[in-house]
Amino acid sequence: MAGYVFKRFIYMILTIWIVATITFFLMHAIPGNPFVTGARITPEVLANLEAKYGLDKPLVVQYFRYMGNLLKGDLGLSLQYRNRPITKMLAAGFPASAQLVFPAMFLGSSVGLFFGIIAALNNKGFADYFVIFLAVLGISVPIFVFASLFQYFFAVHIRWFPVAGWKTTRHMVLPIIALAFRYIAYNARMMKTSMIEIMGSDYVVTAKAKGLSKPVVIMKHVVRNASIPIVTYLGPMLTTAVLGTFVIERIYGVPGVGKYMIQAIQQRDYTMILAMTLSSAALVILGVFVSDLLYGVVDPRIRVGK
Amino acid sequence: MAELSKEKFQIVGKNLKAAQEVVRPSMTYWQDAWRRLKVNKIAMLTLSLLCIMIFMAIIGPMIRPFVYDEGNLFDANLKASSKYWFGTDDIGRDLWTRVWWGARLSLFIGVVVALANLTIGILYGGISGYLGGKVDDIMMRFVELLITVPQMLWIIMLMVVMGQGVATIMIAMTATGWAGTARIVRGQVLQLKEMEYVMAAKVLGSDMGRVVFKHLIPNTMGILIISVTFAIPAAIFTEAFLSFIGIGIPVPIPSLGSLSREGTNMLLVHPYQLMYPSIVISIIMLAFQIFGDGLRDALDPRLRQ
Repeated sequence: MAGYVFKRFIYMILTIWIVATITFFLMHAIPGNPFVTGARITPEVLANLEAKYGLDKPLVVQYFRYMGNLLKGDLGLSLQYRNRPITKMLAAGFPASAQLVFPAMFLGSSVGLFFGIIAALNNKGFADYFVIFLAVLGISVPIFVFASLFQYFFAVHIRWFPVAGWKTTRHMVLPIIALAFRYIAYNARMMKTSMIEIMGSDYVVTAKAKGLSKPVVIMKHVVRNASIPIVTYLGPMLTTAVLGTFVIERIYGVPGVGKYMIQAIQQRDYTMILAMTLSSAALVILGVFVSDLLYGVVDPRIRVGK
Repeated sequence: MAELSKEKFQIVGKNLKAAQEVVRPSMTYWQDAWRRLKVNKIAMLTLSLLCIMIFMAIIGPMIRPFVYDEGNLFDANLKASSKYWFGTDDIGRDLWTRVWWGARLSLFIGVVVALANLTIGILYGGISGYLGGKVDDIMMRFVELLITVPQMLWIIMLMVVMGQGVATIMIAMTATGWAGTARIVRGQVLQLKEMEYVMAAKVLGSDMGRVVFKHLIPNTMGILIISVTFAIPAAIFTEAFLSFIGIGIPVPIPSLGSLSREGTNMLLVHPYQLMYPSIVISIIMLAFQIFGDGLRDALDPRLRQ
C-alpha cells in the first residue's frame, strides 16, 4: 500500500510538472508582445517592462526562474493589474470559492445518497420516478441555465433569497444549490442502481435469512456497501465543481477565484489565465489522487498490494 | 398402462430439406439492432425530437427575413410577436434567427468534433493496442497525461494561445478530446486480437491492414457509435460552457452558449432572452443523452442497465 501511494504521489508530481512546463511554453507561444497593445509606449519603457517581467532573458533562464518561482508558490504577476502577484489574488478569492465548492460537494453527496436510498427502497414508485426525473434534468440542462433559472425564480420572482452577493449565509444558499444540483441528480441515480444490485446479492439474502430486521439489513449491509461508488465520484465531482464555479460565481457575483478567471478572460490577461488554469489543474489532480486513496480505504476489495 | 404395439410407430423418413430450411429471415447485426431500437418507445421519441431539432436548425434561419448579425435598434428587446417569433435582443436582432443559427453551429461543432475525435481515437488506440508492448506503454502514458487534467482546462489554455474562433475551438476540442476514444479502442483491440477468428485470419495469411479493417474495427463499431452519440452532446456542452465564460465563439456569431451568456446579462429585465436558447440547448442535450441510452441498449444488449 505504502509503495503504491508513493508511486502515485511521484506520478502526480510529475504530471503537475509536465503541465506547468506546457503552460510555460504556451505562454510564450501567444502571438504578439503583451505590452504593445493599447497605449503607445516608448522603447525605453518597453525595455523596462520586459526587464521587470524577466522577458529579456533567454528562454531557458526564464523557464528555470518560472519553475523556481512556482516551487516557492509564486505564480507571477498579473498583466492587467500591474504589481499584483497572482498568488495574492488567488488567495483573496479562495475562501469564497471554497465556501461554495465544498458545501456543494457535501450537499450533492449527502442529499444524492438520501434520494438514491429512498428511490431504491421504493423501486418503480413515486420516489423512483422523481429520481429518474432529477437525473434527466441533471444531464440535460447546462449548469448556467440552472443557475440563472434559480436566480430568476427564487431571488427575483418570489424574493426568498438575495439576487447576488456574498455576505450572509442567505447569499450562499442559491449558488450552492445551483452547483450541487447536478451532483444530487447523479449521485441519486448511481446510489439507486448500486443499492438495487446489492439488495439482490447473496450476503444480503444471508443477512435476511439470519432474521435481521429490515432497517439493520438496509443500514448495515446495503447502504454501507452501496455508497462505495459514490467515493469514486468525488474526484470527477471536484473537477466539475471547480469548472462550475467559473459560471456560478459570474452569475451570482461571488468574489471567488472563478470571478477572477472570467475577468482575466475578458481582459485577455494571459499570465493570469494560465496561472489559474495551472492551479486548477493541480488542485484537480490532487483531488483525484486523494479520492483514489480514499476508495482504497473504503473498499478493501480493491486495495492494491503492490 | 397403455399397450405399446408396433402399429403405433411408423417411420416418417427424414426430410433433409426441411431441416435446413431457414424459417426466419437472417438478420445482420445492424438489422437486429434496429429492430431492438424500434420497439424502444423513448428512444424513438428522442430520435424524432433530434430530427426535428436538426431540421429546425437547417430551416429555421431561412424562413425568416432576418440575418443573425444585423439588428434594428428601434426594435430592441421586443417580446415574441408575429414579426419576431422569439422576440429580439438588446440591439434589435431577431432571436429566432439567432437561436437557430446557434443551434446549427452548436450541432455542427458537436458532430465534427465527435467524428474527428473518433477518427484520431481509432487510429491512435488501434495502433497502440495492436502493437502492444513498449509502444503501447509509451502511447498510453501520453493519453493518461492528457486525461489527468480536465479537458476544459486544456481547451482554455489552447484557446488563450490560438485566439477565439469557430475553427480554433474545434481544433482545441479535437486536440484534447480523442484520448477517451483512444482508450476505449485500445481496450477493445487488446481484447479482440486474442480472439480465435483473428488468429484464423492471420493463419490464412491476412496482413495487418486486413485484420484491423476487416475484423477489429467492425467489431468495435457498436461501442464506438455509442461513444459518438455521447460525445456529440459533450462537445456541444463544452462549446456552450466556453462561449458562456467568454473564451469560445467570438461575437457576433451566435452559438447556444454565447446566446445564453447574452441572455443571463438581460435575465433580470428580459428573461425570455435566456429562455429560448436554454430550452433549445436542453432539448438537444436531452435528446442525445436519452437516444444514446437507447442506442446502447440496442447495439450492445449486455450493457443494458
